[in-house]
Amino acid sequence: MKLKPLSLVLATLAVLGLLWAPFLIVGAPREPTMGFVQKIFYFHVPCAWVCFLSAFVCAFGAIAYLFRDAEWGERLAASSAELTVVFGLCTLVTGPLWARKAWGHWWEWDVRLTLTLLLWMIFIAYLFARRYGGPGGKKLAAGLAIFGAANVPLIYLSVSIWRSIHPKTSVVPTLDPGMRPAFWVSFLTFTILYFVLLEARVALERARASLDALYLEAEDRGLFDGDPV
Amino acid sequence: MSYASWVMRLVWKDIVVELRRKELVYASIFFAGVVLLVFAFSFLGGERPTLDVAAGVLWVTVALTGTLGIGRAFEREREGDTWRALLLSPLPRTALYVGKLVSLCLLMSLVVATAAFGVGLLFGAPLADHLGGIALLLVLGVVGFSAIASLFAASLGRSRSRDLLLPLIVYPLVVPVLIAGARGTAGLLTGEDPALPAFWMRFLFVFDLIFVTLGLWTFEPLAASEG
Amino acid sequence: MTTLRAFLCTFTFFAIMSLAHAAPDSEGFVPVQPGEVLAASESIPARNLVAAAYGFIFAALAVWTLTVQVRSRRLEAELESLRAKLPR
Repeated sequence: MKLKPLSLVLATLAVLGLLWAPFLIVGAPREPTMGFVQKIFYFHVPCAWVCFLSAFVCAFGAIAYLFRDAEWGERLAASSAELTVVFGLCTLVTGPLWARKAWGHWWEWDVRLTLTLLLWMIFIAYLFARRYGGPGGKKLAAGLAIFGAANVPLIYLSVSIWRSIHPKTSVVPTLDPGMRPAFWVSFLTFTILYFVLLEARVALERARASLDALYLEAEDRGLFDGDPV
Repeated sequence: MSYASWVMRLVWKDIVVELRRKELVYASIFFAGVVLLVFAFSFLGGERPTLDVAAGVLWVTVALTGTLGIGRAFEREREGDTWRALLLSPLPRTALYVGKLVSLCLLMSLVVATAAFGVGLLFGAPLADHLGGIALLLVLGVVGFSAIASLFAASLGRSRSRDLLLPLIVYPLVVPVLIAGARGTAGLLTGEDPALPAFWMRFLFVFDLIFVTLGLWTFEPLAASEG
Repeated sequence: MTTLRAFLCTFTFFAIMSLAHAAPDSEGFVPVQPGEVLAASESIPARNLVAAAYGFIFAALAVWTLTVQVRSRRLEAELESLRAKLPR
């Protein structure tokens, strides 16, 4: 894989951040009530943030593709959808590990948990639709991404009225000064990492498009005329 | 011809086709009955299930029956290649969507009425005491559900795995409808907090508005992919 | 059609606004006190949970990056072989 200078710089930053963050996290003060398990927070929250960011990037690409017929939008959306699934999985796995200790059980039908789970499922459905949707699969998947993003506030509202026990997002601005560097370093690292991975994934999608174009050209020139199809 | 008369005509066409074959109505109602029976067998036998469970069963039945009926409705259009004909006609594209939405809502209302009756009968839920509220919740839920399901059923095109993909796409998207419907119905049945059912009705109304608007907006690019 | 859409958008916007005001206050839910349930969950040491969490994230990202690498390498190979076949 060839990398552009900017992505090379970003990739270096991400790797440095990933190496540095664990030291900061271990050095951060312990939380009295939750104890050591609270340290999951430093990676769990950035993962969740990247998951949602990537879902909205995907919806943005999908809108560009559906209404402007922009191929780059489709490539961006598909790459971002895959990253949403990866980071969503990380969020969904690390969350219960923390909850087991803090709440005493793995899963709770809380607003953020339910929302993340549903968003994750919608994006798995996106990948399915794009892969198995046949000729119109890409458009179908793009429509699904737009509907999924529009659904986020509604799922949030419906579940928050139903029930909520997850720590509030106000935990972040009121974070203890000793915990801040560890949190923000891993937050930034994950954000940069997301863009690096996105760039790599879009490059793959671009290569696939040029391969398709090349196949068409080969067919035009009669390269496959003798081949049994 | 005006927009409304185009829509009326499309709905009338669906009604006539259905009156001739009666396939969708009978099959969906029978399927709703089967689903309810499966639930009844798995829950009953011991204690009578709570009203919460009855409300949940009603809404799960609506969701299961809905995807079956809507998937089949579009399958029928495809068999006769009539959907292609409609797309080739000079009708405004959104009229196609609205027409399909209205006729599917009519179909689903019939099925939902039967399902509600079955839930009242098999689970002993006092649905008749709150008929107005529950009917309103069900109608709003049916509109929201059909808005999403008919759009994606229409845009699934000729892909071979559409029977697999339709529920896969539709169910995660309609979860707010299911939560709102089941919570609202349970709220009405138990009568604990009188403000809650009213809130869920407004929630469903807003959901319907958002998704019908989005459906009108995305129908053209999504349906244009149909070959 | 544009008027209808504009109307629907405006209407939807105000309806959402009204809903946002009407939403019952969710602050009323009391979070589970961590101390209360801690005793029941003392069986698994926190160290293992934290290690599992971090390990999982690194493993997931590594596996995904690896699959992207493999996919792009396979694609490059296919591109090269096709380019070689195409008479220039």
